[in-house]
Amino acid sequence: MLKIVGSLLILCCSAGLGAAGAGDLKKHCMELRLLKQALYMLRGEIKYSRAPLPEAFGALADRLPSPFGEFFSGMREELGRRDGRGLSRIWKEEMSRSLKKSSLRREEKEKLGRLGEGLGYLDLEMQLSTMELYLEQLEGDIQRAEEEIQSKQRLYRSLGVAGGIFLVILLI
Amino acid sequence: MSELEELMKIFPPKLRQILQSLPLELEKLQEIRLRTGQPMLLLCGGQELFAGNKGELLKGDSLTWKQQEQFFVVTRRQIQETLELVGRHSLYAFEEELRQGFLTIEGGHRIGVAGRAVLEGNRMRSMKYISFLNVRLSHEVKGCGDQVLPFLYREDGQVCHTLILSPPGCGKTTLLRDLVRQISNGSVSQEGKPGRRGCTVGVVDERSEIGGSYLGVPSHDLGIRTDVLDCCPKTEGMMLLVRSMAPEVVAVDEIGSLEEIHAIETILHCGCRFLATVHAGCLEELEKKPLLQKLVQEEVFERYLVLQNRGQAGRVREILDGQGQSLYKGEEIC
Repeated sequence: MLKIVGSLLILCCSAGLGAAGAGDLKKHCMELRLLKQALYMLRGEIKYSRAPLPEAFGALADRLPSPFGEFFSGMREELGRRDGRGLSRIWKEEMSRSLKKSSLRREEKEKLGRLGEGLGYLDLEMQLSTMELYLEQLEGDIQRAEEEIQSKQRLYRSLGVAGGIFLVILLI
Repeated sequence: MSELEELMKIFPPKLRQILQSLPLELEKLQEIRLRTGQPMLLLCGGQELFAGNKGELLKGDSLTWKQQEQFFVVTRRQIQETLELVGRHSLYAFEEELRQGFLTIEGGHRIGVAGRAVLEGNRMRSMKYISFLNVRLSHEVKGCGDQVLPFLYREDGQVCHTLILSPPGCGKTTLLRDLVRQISNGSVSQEGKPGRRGCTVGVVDERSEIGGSYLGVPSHDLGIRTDVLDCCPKTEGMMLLVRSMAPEVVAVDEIGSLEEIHAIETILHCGCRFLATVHAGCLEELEKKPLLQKLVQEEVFERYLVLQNRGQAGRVREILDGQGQSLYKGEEIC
């Protein structure tokens, strides 16, 4: 009896691990989509209302869920301090603070960091084209993340279950 | 927060540190000039001063070579950082202002910029390699128009059409601001002097300099009966105000273009009184300006206030009537 309960527990745990792995993939993809949405909103604020960045970030902060809501609200606050730090520095600091727990990959964070360096340009067109470029890259990342879900989601789940069964057999 | 702290926010840390270590009197500070690779210059109470590396102020005329090495020299990077902070990290939002060559920040201070112009056809599209900045501090000197104000009223109590003549940087906007405030507020009779009725004043503040508006609300006191149209071209703004706010007096800063002159002619025939400033050293100079010549010859303006080109900002040298007859000479009281 004890063996059966133990085996079931092991099976459940490993299946859960597999599901969590698959869930992470989904979360990653969702965050990338959210980032894309945020960038479109930011582009709109810049293009149509010519809002200065602190204002634009403020508008985004109110409309976006975590973790980007916190990120943009942090940006608004830090820029509002006007303590002499440059935008790219504040952007990077805020990224490492608010996006620490996000499931964005290292290289995706690097790209986002580079976007921070390109914001605040004098020329509106240049500003918009920097954002277009980033959006294109982001589109590629989203596509990759979706493909990853397709290919790896089932793999993670079945690996979880199969691993559990294997462990149970090994222990019994 | 003090005015100085507020102003310091537009400077990067190094410049902030230098400026804060200088023994400055903010009320007297008129300009801070930053030029790439050149010493930082300050215009304080009409006197030009150099900022030293160790937080001292050096007078330009009595310097030795050794002292010149102590100047604080501004770098390109510092100019860029200042510009980024002035534009709140969003210079694209101020493209139109930069095309005009200046930005206005909170408190009505004006930041003049110069660098390399980027052209599109014959028109300047934007500016790059901005290497020169001039931070011009806007001061509210309440009461600087006290002496001239009695000359600006006709016998029937109406305000005269008035033009303030002054070379750049002599306080014409400061004087205009105070006149607007006093005309708008009016005054009660005291010590035998009759009171003046307050008038509705419409201000077209194309460069946000008169009111120093932030988010549409003037940061300077422009009086209780004043409506301010912020950042609007004067030509359009004057007509809009006449239609929408029914002002008795229309006030604008720095007139000069052909369209503006046309708009002024229209305003003058709408029953409004007109108060404006123009860049000119004296009435003769004004008459040499082809666009304004006609208005002078037709004796459209009833008063000309000529400002002194040195010394205290906003001090009137002479008041002339429409025919060019002197009504008041400033030297007598200087």
